[in-house]
Amino acid sequence: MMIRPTIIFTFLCTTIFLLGGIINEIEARGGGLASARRGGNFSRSGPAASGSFSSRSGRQSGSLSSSRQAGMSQRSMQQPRGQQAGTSRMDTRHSQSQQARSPGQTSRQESRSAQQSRNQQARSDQLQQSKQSREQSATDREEDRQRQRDESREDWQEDRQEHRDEVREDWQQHADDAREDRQDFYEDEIDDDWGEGDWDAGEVLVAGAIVAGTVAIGTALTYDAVYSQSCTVTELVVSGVTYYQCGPTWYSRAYAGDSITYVVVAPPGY
Amino acid sequence: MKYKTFGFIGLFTLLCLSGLTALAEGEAQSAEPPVSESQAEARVILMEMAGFLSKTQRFRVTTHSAHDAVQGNGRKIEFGEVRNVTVSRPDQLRIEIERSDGNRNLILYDGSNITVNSLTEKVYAQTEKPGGIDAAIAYFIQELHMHLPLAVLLTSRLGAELENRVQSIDYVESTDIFGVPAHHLAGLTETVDFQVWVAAGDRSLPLRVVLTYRYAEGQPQYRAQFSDWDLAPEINNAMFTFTPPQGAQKISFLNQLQNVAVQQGEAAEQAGEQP
Repeated sequence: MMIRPTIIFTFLCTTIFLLGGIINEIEARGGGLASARRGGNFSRSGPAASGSFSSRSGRQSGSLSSSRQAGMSQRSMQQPRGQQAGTSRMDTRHSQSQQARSPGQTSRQESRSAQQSRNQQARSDQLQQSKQSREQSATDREEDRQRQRDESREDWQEDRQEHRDEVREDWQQHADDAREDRQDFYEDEIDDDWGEGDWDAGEVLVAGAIVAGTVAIGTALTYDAVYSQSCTVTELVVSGVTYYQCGPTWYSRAYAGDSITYVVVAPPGY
Repeated sequence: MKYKTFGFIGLFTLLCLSGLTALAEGEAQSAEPPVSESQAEARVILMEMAGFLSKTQRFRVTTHSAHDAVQGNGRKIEFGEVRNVTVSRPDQLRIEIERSDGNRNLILYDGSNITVNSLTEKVYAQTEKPGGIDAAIAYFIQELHMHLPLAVLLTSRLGAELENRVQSIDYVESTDIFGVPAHHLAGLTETVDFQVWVAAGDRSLPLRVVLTYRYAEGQPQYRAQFSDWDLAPEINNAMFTFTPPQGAQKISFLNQLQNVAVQQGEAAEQAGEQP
């Protein structure tokens, strides 16, 4: 008969132990709805979130690794392909136009060398002539000097005119190149609403983490990136606009992708 | 006799030459992969679906979708949402969204303004964009950088878009999906593998879409199932017009705020430089 209380006691202890374990497990999983929403900082973003029949990220050697934010789950999307292509094309064209300008620069250098050479020659001639002139009469010396000055001025004027022409041609070429660059870019990228069949890719540049201490104005950040900082985020309404301050940095909210982002702005009042 | 021999040789040479020419022509034709009967059929079904949907002036449909989000550590996490879409061509659109995390959003277009309203966070953004649904959708995605999955299906240029993008299409099988007889098609665009299940019969409507981003890291997928197609929904103008809920705060779209923020930042810098 003494066995029964012992069994009951053992049963109760086991039950309490098991219930304790289950409760601990629930707590470890996050429990309530609120914590489940912000659960593990998992990102919802990525190429598949766009639900598009095209992907800009796809045409870039198939890698997104460069666009990843280390340590955080929100991914930065790549720069639109068109912009990269446009930039690349503009860089190439800029390089080409630089190369095209190189002969002009070379000719200017040659011109300068020739001018220096001529000047040296002129000085040498001057010395020689002045040596000779010392042996001549004062009248002859004066005539020689006058002739030298005239010749030298004419040479200098010719060189200067050549130099001006070259500079003007170079700048004309540069302006033409720049105009062509702009035309190519607009023709290629902004010709109509529909682009090259990837207008609906809809990828957005939103940073998931603040890597360095300061963030440039205009940078878009996720809720987690802002609220995971060591500061206390405070709200301030100025002229009907709600600002969020974290240390020296001010934010305002904006729609991007399928969520609300925090954008770094100038302090209210500017 | 001599002339006869020459005649035979000439005839033989002529036959050989014509045979070689025919062979070369055959090889040239085979350089392009031949389109099989089932591929041709698949393309017809796809374009019929595009034509049917883009010519339907009003419709309402519910989509249950899920997409893979590849995380920084390479893990693939699935997120979902439900969308109730109402289209009234040419210039009215209403999309109610409920994400898997409970966030609820509303997108409205009334022919003049695009509005996005977060019912959960009690904020909204609005911008002017006349021009109809097609122009508004393109602007919404390209300029405002907002997401609108399967946006191309909502435009009246669906046929042109598919013609432009689909590089190949195959007929996978005839099947049943949600109890509805359907054609299962699989195709390729330049960057996406797609599968679409199109209802068999007179109403060529999409029933399911699976998109695989084959060049993106982790090859994530977007999956959507269409249900409750209503091609004669009851609608009224109020459904597409936005009235700010009490207490709702107006915010900007990202690109609008970024432009203003950068200008303000420059002004602040200049003010700081002045003694």
